[in-house]
Amino acid sequence: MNFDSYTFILFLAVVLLLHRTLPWRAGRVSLLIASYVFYGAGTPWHCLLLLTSTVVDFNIARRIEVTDDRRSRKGLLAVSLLVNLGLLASFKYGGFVTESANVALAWLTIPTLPVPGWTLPIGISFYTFQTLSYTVDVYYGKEKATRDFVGFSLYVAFFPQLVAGPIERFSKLMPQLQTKQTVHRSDLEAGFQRILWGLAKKMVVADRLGLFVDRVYEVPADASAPAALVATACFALQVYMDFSGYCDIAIGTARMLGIRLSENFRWPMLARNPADFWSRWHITLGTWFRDYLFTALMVGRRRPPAPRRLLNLTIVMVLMGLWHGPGWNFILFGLMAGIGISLYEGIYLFTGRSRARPLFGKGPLSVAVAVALMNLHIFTLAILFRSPSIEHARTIASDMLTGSWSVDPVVSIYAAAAVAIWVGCMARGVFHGSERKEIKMPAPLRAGLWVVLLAVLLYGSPDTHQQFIYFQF
Amino acid sequence: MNGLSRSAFPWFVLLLALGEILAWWSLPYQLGPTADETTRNPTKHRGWPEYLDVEDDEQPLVVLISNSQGVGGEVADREKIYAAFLGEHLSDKGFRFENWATGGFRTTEIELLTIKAAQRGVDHLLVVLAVNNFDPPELLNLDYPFSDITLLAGEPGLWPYLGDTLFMENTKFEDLAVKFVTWSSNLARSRMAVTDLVAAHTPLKWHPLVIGHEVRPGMRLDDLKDPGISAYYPAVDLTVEELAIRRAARKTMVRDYNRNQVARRFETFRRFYPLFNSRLEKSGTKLTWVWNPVALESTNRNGRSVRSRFYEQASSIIERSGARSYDMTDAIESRYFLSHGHFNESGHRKFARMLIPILDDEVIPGGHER
Repeated sequence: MNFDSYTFILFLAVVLLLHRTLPWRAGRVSLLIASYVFYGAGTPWHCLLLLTSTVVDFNIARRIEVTDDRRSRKGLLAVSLLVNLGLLASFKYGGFVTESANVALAWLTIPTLPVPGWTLPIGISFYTFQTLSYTVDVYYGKEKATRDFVGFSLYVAFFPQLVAGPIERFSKLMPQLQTKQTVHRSDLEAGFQRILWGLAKKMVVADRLGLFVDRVYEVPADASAPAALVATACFALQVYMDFSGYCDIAIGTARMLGIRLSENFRWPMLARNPADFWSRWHITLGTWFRDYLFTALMVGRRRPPAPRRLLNLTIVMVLMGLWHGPGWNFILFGLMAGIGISLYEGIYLFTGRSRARPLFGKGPLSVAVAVALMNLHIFTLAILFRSPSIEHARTIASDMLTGSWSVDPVVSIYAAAAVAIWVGCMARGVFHGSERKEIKMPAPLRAGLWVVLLAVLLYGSPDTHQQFIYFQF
Repeated sequence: MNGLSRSAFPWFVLLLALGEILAWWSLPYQLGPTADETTRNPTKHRGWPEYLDVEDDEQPLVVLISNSQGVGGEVADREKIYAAFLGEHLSDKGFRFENWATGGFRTTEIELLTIKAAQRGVDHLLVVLAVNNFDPPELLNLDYPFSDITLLAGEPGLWPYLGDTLFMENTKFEDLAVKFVTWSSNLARSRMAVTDLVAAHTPLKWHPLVIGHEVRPGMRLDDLKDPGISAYYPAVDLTVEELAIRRAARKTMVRDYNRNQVARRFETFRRFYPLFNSRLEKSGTKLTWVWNPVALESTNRNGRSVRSRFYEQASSIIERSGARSYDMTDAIESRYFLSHGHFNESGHRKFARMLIPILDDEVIPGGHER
C-alpha cells in the first residue's frame, strides 16, 4: 500500500478510529493487524517473511538472555544473523551474485547458473536491520529480552515505518508501544500537517524533478553537458525530497497514533564535511551501521591505528552502498563515499589536528566553501546512485565533461528550479535550526495552511505517478 | 464553540466545503451536460444516455455503439457523418436514435455502454466495430487515457453490474474508488481545469514535463499554439484527444493484423460475447452487428487473411446467438477513406446507404426476429 494513495487515506482513517475507540490492549492488536494488512496489501505472502523475522528474533533474544554459556549465546546470535541476513541476501542479492558469478563462469566457459527472478519484498532491508539491532542489543546486555510478543511484533511491523524506516531502536520505540500513549489534539494536527508536507515534497517537488531526470537518464548518450549536470543536481534534490517526504509521512502518521519516531534528516545540504553529511542524511541507517558494524569491526582494540580505522570506515561505507541495491554502481557509490569520509577523517587522524578546527576555517566564507564542496561531492555520488550501471554512469559523466553546451530552455528552467529549491532548503535549515520547532498558529490559520498544502498537491503534482525511491531498497 | 475555535480540523473541513462550492461555480464543465457533450469530457460528441431529454417514450429507441468512425472521424460537420444519416432515416420512420459512438473505442467501453443500454431499455442496438476495438486480455483495464471509462466507472449506479464484465477481472476496487472520488468532487475535477489552462499556454513539447504526459483531453489544437500540429491538420477543428486517436489509429491499422495480436483479441471477443449477449437478452434488446469497412491498403495480404479469420469466427459466435452480423470490412473502396483510415464525407454517405437497408430489415417491425 502506498502512502500517496486514496486507499492509504481510507486505511489511516479506519486505523485512527479504531485506535481512539478501542481499549488500549485491543487497540494494540488492531494496530498490529492493520500493520500486516498494510504490508500484505501488495503481496500477501511477504507477511510470512515479516512473521519469520519476528518469531525468530523474539525467541532467540529470550534464549540469549537466559543462556550463560558464551558459545551458545554466540551461536544463537549467529542463527538470528543467518536468518535475517540470509533472507535479505537471498531476495536482494541473489540475482546480482548469480549474474556476477555467471560473468566469471562464462569467461571460464563453464555453464552458467540460473538467475533467480524473485521480487524484492518491500521493506525487507529496513525491518531486518531493525530486528537485528534488538537481538544484538540483547546479546551485549544493552536491552532486556521482552516477553511481550504482541508488543515486539508491533515493534517490527509498525506500519508507518515498516517499508522505508526510520529504523527504530528497541529502546526508543518499544516503551511507546507497551504503554498507552495519550494522543492530544496537537499530536493529531501536527501529524496531519507533517503528512501533508511530506506528500507535497514527494508528489509535487520530487515527482516533477523526476520527469526531467528520467528523460535525461533514460537516453544518456543524447544528453548535452548542461542537461547532464542539471539532471544530476535535480536527482540529488529528488531523492532528498522523495525520501524525506516519505519520512515526514511516516513520522506524521505515527504522531497521529501518539508515537514519536526518530528524525531521519537534518538539513543535509548544510553539511560541511562528509562526516557531517552522514550524520544528517538517513540518520537512522548511518547510526545503525556505526553502532552495529563499525563498532563490531573495531572490537578488540581500544585505540585502533588510523589506517585500520579508515579501512573499517571504508568497508562500512561500501556495505552501506551495497545495502542500497545489488549493483556494482552502488558498490562504487559506497566506495567513493568511503574514500571521501576517510580522506576527511584521515586529515585529522594523521595530522593530529583538533576537531574543533574545521578544515576550511570558521568564517562565513570558509563555511560557504566547505558547504559548496560538500554539495559538489554529493552531486558526483548522485550519478552513481541514479545510474543503473557503471557504464551508464560513465556515459553521464562523459556528457558532463565533453557534451555539447547548447542552451535549452527546459534545462535552464530546471536549473533555476533546482537552485531555488536547494537555496530554500538551506535557508530553512539555517533559520529552523537542528530541531523541528512547531510554530504556534491560530486554528483558522493552521487550517488555511493545510488548504494551501492541499492545493499545492492537487494542482502541482504531475499526472504520472512515481513510486517512492527508497521502496526499491 | 471553544473546541471548534481551538481545533484546526473543523476549519479545514469548512474551507474544503467552500472550495468545493467555489470549484462548482467556476468550473467550465457543467454537472448536467447537453445532448451532444458529456459532463466531464466536452470533447466527446455523443449523447450521454441518462441526461438526454426524452421527448417521446413511446418511440422505440435505436442506439449506435461504434468507434471513431461513428463519431465522424475527421469529418468536422456532424451532419455529414453516417450516424447522422441513420438518425435522420430512423427519425422519419418513427424511431428515436442515439449515437453512443466514441473514438479510441475499447472493450471496456462496449461492456459499460451495453450495461447502460440495458438500464435505458434500448430497443435495438446497432454495433459497428472492428477487430482493433477488442483488446488483448492483458489490456482489459481502466487505464486507457482517452477513454470515457473514467466517467462510467465513477458512477456508483453502474457498480452492481460490473461483476459481469471482463475488465473488472483486472481492476482493483481502489481504482474504482479513486475514479469515484476524482470525478465526483468539483475540487478534484478543478485539477483538470487548472492543468488545461497551464497546458494551453505551454508548447506541446513541454507537456511531458509540465503535465507528465503529452496531451490533455479536451484541449483544441488551436489552444496548443503549436504551428507544426496546426499545419498538419489545417482545416479540421480537432481536439488534442482526437489527434492522438488518429495517431493511434494509424499505428493500430498496421500493427493490429499481426497474427498473435488478432488471436489474443479473438480470445477477448470469445469471452466478451456471452456476457454481452446475456445482458441484451435480459433487457430484451435486439442486436445487429456490423464489422466496419477498413481501408484496404492499410493492411497487407497476410494481415487481411488473419483479420478475415477473426471476423469469420466472431460472426459465427454472433449468429449462433440468433443475432445477425454483417462483415463489411472489404465493402468500400479505398477512395472513400482519408489517409488515416477514417471515412471521408463520401465514405460516410456510402456507408450510410449500405446500412439503411439493413436497418430497415432488422429494426423496422416485421424485419428479422432473433
